[in-house]
Formats: sequence, structure tokens, C-alpha cells
Amino acid sequence: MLLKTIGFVLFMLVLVSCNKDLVLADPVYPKGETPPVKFSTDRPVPASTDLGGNVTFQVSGLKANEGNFKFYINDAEAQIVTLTDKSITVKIPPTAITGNASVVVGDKTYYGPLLYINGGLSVDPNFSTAGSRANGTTFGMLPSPNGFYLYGGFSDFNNQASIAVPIRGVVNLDANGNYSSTQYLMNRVFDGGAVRSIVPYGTDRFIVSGGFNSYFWDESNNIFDRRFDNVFGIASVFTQGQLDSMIVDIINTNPEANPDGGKDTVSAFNGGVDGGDIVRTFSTSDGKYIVVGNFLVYRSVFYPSSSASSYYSDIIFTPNILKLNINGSIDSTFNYNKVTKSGGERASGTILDAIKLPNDDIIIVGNFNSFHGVSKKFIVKIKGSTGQLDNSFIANANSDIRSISYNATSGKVLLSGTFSEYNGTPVNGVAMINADGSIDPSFNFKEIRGGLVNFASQIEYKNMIVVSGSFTHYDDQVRPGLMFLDRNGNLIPEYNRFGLFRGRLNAVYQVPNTTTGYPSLFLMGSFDRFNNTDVGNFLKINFLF
Amino acid sequence: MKIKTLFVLSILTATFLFGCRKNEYFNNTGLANGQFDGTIMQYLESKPDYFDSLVKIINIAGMAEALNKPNITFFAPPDSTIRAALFSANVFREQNGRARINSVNEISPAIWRKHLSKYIFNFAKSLNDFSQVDFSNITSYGGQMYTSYAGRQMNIGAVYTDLVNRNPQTQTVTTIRYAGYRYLVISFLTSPFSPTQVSTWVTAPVSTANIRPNNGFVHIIKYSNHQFGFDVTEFSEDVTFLNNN
Repeated sequence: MLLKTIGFVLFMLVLVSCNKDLVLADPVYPKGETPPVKFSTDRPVPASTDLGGNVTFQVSGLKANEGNFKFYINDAEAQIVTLTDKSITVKIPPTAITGNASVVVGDKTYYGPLLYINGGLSVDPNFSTAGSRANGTTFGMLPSPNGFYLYGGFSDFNNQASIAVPIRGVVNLDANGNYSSTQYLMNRVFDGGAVRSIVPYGTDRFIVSGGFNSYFWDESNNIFDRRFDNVFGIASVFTQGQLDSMIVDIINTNPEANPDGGKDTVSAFNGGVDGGDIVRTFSTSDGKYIVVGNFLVYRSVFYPSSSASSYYSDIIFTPNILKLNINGSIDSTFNYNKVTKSGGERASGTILDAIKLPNDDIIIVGNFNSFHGVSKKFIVKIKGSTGQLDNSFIANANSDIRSISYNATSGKVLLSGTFSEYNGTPVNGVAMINADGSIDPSFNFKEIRGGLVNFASQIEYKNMIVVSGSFTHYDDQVRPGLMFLDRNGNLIPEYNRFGLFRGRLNAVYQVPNTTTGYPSLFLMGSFDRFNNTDVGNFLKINFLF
Repeated sequence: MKIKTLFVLSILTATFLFGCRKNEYFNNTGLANGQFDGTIMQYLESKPDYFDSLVKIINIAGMAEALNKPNITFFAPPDSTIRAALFSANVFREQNGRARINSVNEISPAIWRKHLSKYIFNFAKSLNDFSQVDFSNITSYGGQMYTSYAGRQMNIGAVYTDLVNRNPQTQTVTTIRYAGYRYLVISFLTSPFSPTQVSTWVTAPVSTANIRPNNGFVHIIKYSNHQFGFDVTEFSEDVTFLNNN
């Protein structure tokens, strides 16, 4: 008995003493807040709609906040029609554009799914937004035998570039704007910088210019691979992409070992620029080319004094603007002082854009405040005949002018930039002027909010004006990044229902469209969103009416 | 024999005497105390190593008063984030033909006010008061969008990390979802038109949360990878084109 008791006590001792207290610690964190309002991931019904109707969103938790919240469709307040615990039906506000629904309760905002509002613009259904993307900025396009040439600062398009088929600066597109399997410029590329401009010359050639410095002819890595180094930002190519070349006599440094060394194949366009890039190239009425950019000097090669390993360069100080003959030689009647043997003084800032007027005069804009040594505020006109300043052109702005475009039909010039005053008149970053520099008061660009303007251009269709920028509002209406204005600067509501555009445009190109019967518009620039959809620096949109 | 017993006894005694001593190098300082006796502004002023430039720009912007009001939450960007933003803005200014800026005084108060406002909220909330955010599952755990002091949309949420246990013997890994430590993340919506696309947000994790001055909370933003103003492009454009000083 005693033994049993001792045994039991010992057993209990073992049980109790060796039992670690099973205590659950207090949770380190208290329970976090759960949002009281929650949108379902379902798309609204309908998911895309015209104005004027109702739309239903699945959202929970609103009934409890009835009367204390506001419902928005992309910043435009919507009137509530019915409200249940699981859903809300609202009337689409007349100023709504494509965007996310949102509920604002006090200082809290809850975002819901996208609602597409139909408008007068849509991405061309035959254009592949997923595929037809450039991996760098695009600057412009022009017709090719089976579609278009697109040019810019990219090194791939639609993921088609390979070592055998490099794409750099220029790509061939079909009529819809998609990658064309027929690459005229296949395995021939410009290297070292972007292609900024392509100007047709005659019927079978182009003058290509930009920031590049060599032309590479890749024959699938065999011995015929050739690199032409004496390409100074400008060259002449045939329609199919071959470099216009010529055979020149050079000094043969070792005639015994290499009896054929006295000849070299070089770019036929012997001349170009150095010290900076070409921004624009214009063909003039006398069959020559005016080149505008941020370069310092004209450069060409004097082949009679050159050898294959050492080129004798001819360099003339002619910054920002010069005129070239069709063989690349400099036109000394243009921006060239025969006494000082140089052009005018360099601009004090960067040249950002330029246009040519029908009489060959050039208007240059940028962020400079002196040109040719004379005080010129962000805009200057150069006489096409002499290359000298046109002092009858009275124009000045108070900050950068980033883009300039000319409409031959209206004869008007459109400026855009960060300036807020033009010739003393308050403007909000976009101004329409006449060729003599005077402001056109019939165009009145309203106030923008949330950002700046970086591009404005006139298009032929309905005399509309396309403006891009980082702004979020125009004239107190939501307009994220891109807008279509009428001739007087008013938003055209039916063409401005699309959602977010993010980036900047460099060019717009209007083409006819037989399917819709209305024009289509190619957009080029640096941008990655249109109508809240991912795109890649290039896009084709259709006007639907 | 006796000596042996004595020897064993003395060793036992010594073991008892010294064995269970708490090591003196262990210094239990308790839990961190986030209390600060003063306003948010006074707290920032008390830490010039971190917030000297910040205090300067708050004064330039005339926002010291806002940070002395009751019930404020301030996400404090340390000085190096301001330096980084100025560096980026100067690169942008040079690209656009403008002279460099050498001092925070050269930037107009309106620009400082605009960007500082993204960090200030009219409520007092600590890490535990914010809802969960999971950037890989934003539809379920989306944090919360708040309107900041000057009306810009900001997302604030607490990231719940996973609790991961590795057993080296069995080579097994046990993961308990969202049971690990938590940290605050504040995000700026670069565009209010793509609010649910996380790739368009600029996020900034908080390195020190729940500092409690008398009039609210201060959460200090992790200095690496953050530039003052969240959106470098916006700040640089403002400093380059809209600086009226």
C-alpha cells in the first residue's frame, strides 16, 4: 500500500514537474484593419458603353455608408440609381471618360474595375498592340512599297530582331502597321544613334539622317560583312536599303603586298555633321538639304589624302544649321562666312525641333536664349536663302518650346512646350502663330493641370489638334495625357472619351482607311499606355466618325 | 580518499555557485519605447543627423504648423532621399539647359509644399491600424488609398511577411502565410488613371514605424531606393520648369 502511494506520488511528481506550461503568447500584432468597402473583381455590367446609360458595379459595404460616400467614374461624379448590399447602379455622367470607378468615403478612396466609354476613336482592330511594339522611341514614318518605313531610336520591333536580321533605327511595316516579313532594310542597319529623319530623294533613294555614325551591312556574318564608318549622321540609301556607295582612289600604303589597296568603297554622300545629332533634315526647292540639329561642325573626308586606315577629314565650324548639296558637300552660300570660314555662333541651348516653311525658311525651337550670338528666346527663324537670322520674325517665349508643327493648308504654326507667355501674351504651353511670328488669337489653349505639354500638332482631319503631355486635366475636365482639340482649342468631347495615355508623342501620321471610311492616325513617340492598355511607342488608331 | 571527496565536493560547490549566473553582458533593455515628448516637428528637430534638410524644407514650405496640429501621421523622408532627388533634378536641369541648384533655398516653397504634402495625413495611425497589402495579390489585399494632406492619392498598407521555418535535419520548409513580421509601405500613384496597376505605383517601405510624438505618428521611410517626392520625373520637371525662384 505504502509502496503504491509512493509510486503514485512519484508518478504525479513526474507528470506535473516535467510538464512545461503550455501557454500561448499574446499575438505579436493585433488584427489588422479590413477595408469596409470592397469592389469585386468582376467587370461592370455593361463593361463598355456609350454615354447616357446606367452601369452596375459589384461592390460590398456601401449600404452601411449610404449618404456618406461619393461614386466616381474616372473623376466624374456619378449619380446613384440603386444601392444594395452587394452592388450599386449609377448613371454614367456626361463628362465620363474611360477609367476606373472609385468610391470616396471621407479621406479613403476605393478603386474598382475599369469601365470603357465608347468614343470616336479606337485602336485599329488589325493593329496588334501586343506585337507591334518598338523597344525604343519612334520618330516618324513614310510610305514604303508594301506599307511603311518606321524609324526611330529602337533596336527591336515585335521581338523580331536577331543577329542575322538586325533591326536598328528602321523597320518595315505592312499597311496595317504590323511587322512586315519583307524587310527591305534587312541586315543593313545604321549604328551609333537614332534615325531622326528620312527624306525621299528622287524616286529610288532616301536621305536618312540622325545620330548614327556608321552603316553596317551584315551578310549573315560571312566575309562580305561591311561596315561603312565615314557616315556622319546622314547618308543616302536606295529604296531597298542598300547604301548609296562609290569607289574612290585613296593612298595605297603598301602597294607591294596589296596591289588593290588604292581603291575604297565608301558612302556616296560624302559629308555630314559631328559633335552632336541631327534633329531634322529638309529638302529644299533647289534640290539641296538643310540640316538642323545640335552638332558643332560639318565633316567630310578628303579621299585623295586618305589611306584605308587613316582618313583625312575636312572640318568646318557650322553649328546647328547647314545646307548640303546632294553629294554631301557643304553649300557655302548658306550660314557660312567666307572671311571667318565658319558658320554663325552656336545656340546657347539645345535645339529640340524645327520646321520648314514653303519658301524654304526654317523655324527652330528649343531651350536656347541666343542664336548666332543674338538674343533669341527659344524660337528663331532662319532665311532659307542665306542661312542668316530673319530679324523681321518677332517671336519670343519665356521657357522651352519643345515641338513645332506646320500645317500647309492653314499656313499656321503650332508651338508647344513649358512656356507660359508668347510675345508677352499669356498662353498655357501651346500657341498657334502665323508664319511671321504673330500670335493667332483665334486659338486659345485652356488651362492644364497636373503636368506639362510635350507635343502638339495639327492634323488634316477636321483641322483637329493633337496634344500630348503629362497633364491630367484640361479646361477643368479629366484628360490624362492626350487630347484632340478643335481649331479653336476646345475639347471635342466625342473624340476624348479614351482613358490614360502615358508618355510623349514625337509625330502623328494620318492615312486613309477604306474599312471605316474615315482616316486613321499613326502615333509615334515614347509612350507605354493608350486607353489604359499597354502599348509600345507606336500605335494605329481609327476615327469611327 | 578524503581529499578526493573534498575535491569532488568543492567542484560541486563551485558549479552551484557560478553555474547559474546571469551573464553581465546580457543587458535587457526591454521593448523599444516610441514615445516622444513633443510634437512631430520637435521630434524631427531633435534628430538633425537624419532630418536636418527635411526640417529646412518644411520651414521653407511653411508647413511646420501642419506638423504641429493634432492627429497627424507623417511619413518622414530622411535627408539622403532629398539629396538623391536634388541630384536627379540637377541632371534633368542640365539636360534642359538650366543651371544646377546648390541649395534647397533655390527651390520655390510651392514645389516643396506640393511634394511634402504626399507624406502628411490628417489622421494618427500606427502600423497596426493599416490594412494588409500584398503587392502580388492586390485584389485581395490592396492596402488602403488615402487622400494625403494636399489631395494626392496615396496607398498605405502593412506587408505581412511569411513565417518560414526550415528544419535542417529533415530538409523541410514550413511556411505560414502572412504570419511573419509586418512592415508599412507607402505608395504614390503616379497616375490616378491607372490606380489598380501596381506597376505604376512608386512604393517606399518604412524602416522605423510607430514613433509616437504627442500629436500623432511618425514612420520613417527607408532611405535606400527612395527619392523625395516619390516620382522623380514629376519632381525634376517641377524643379526645372515650374521653379519661379
